Amino acid sequence: MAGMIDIKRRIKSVQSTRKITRAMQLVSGAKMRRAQNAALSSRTYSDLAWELIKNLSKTQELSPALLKVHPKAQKMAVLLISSNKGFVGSLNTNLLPKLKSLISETGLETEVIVYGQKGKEATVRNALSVTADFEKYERTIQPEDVYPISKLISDLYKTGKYKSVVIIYSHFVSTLQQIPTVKQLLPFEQDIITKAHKRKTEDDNEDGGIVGYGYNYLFEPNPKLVFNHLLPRIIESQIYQTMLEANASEHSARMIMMKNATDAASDIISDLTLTYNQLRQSKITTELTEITAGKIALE
Amino acid sequence: MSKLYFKLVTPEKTVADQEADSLSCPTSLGQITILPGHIPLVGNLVPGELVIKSGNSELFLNVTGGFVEVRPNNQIVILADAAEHHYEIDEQRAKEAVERAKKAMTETKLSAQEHAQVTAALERSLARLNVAKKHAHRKTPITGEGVFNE
Repeated sequence: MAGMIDIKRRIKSVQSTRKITRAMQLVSGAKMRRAQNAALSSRTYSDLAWELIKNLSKTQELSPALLKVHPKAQKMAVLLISSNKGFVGSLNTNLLPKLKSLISETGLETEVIVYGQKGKEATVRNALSVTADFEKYERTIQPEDVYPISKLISDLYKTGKYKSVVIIYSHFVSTLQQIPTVKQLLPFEQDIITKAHKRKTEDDNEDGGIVGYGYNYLFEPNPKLVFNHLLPRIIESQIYQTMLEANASEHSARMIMMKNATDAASDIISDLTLTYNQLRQSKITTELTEITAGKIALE
Repeated sequence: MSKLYFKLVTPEKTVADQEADSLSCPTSLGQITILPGHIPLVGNLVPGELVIKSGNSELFLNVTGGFVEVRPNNQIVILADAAEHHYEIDEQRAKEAVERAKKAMTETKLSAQEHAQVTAALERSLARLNVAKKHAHRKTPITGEGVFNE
């Protein structure tokens, strides 16, 4: 019967699809574990570094270029961290609405710095202006990879034309949950983004941010040297951390997507096999009846 | 007596998180010691040795630069680029690193930037070696930790 051959073909094709998705699931599973470990183990460092700068920016009377605020500036720079490849579910598509609502909320002229192929395609499609396009490599991120990005961002901010610099990325919560997040990188204080966008952290208080102690810090050897050293390092560590988070999110999302695909393929295969067997059975029954009927007719 | 609450983190991991009586760390102005009740301070760390005293026990660590932050309420946070316990340092490898850096400085013609990098590398490996040598006589804790970490 023609129907049976079709079903057999379909089973074969779904089986080979399942082979591919299972292989991809295993690969991203391995990558996921590595990326998750990297993201989680450096979280303490970047959180503490962030607290430090929050404390310092409240207390400092002497202000280096990076601690200045530009309330009159009309521009905003956005670093959009996305993945290079698809198969990650809604991970990348969730980032864009965040960007759009941020633009409409602040009303600032927005320039996007893209990191990752998918984010680049989306910004181009939405006719947003792209300032810089950094290529994302499919290997472990090294701290050195961040230097050019952090330098560009610092230089942009130092021109005084930018009111703020924010990062949009997927924050890694667990293998099953990744949250698209807006993080304000510069200026360190005076939040421009509203509370609704922010990731809720444990140490958040009513203002939605970490409050400095209001103490005057002693600097060793002197404020200028400390800041020269500290500020670039803090910006680097924050960007580095968001990249690790985004990476962990990407691989987790892909692992889950591939697992779903594999499971779905298995479901389809068992459905098709059942139909196939039913057809086969009824075919045999029909043949038997025909033979018996023929025999009776001959007698 | 009040204690210091001390935390040493690197981008890779949290190296130490404990109470301590005093802490000495190498800053760009020289070795400073922090005791409970210190006023808030932020300082640059240079490659060198970090000594944590707690009761009768002492901990020696090698750090390769970073920052020290003293917060009110005796909280101390050290953001180090890298840190390791003295017994984790492989002396042989540290020696080789020093040799390599010295060789690189004498042999090849370097641009200003490369020269700075090599000098920094030399400084770091010398500091590691010093820490390792100084405490070589100390019993290493038989935990198995650190043996395979390198």
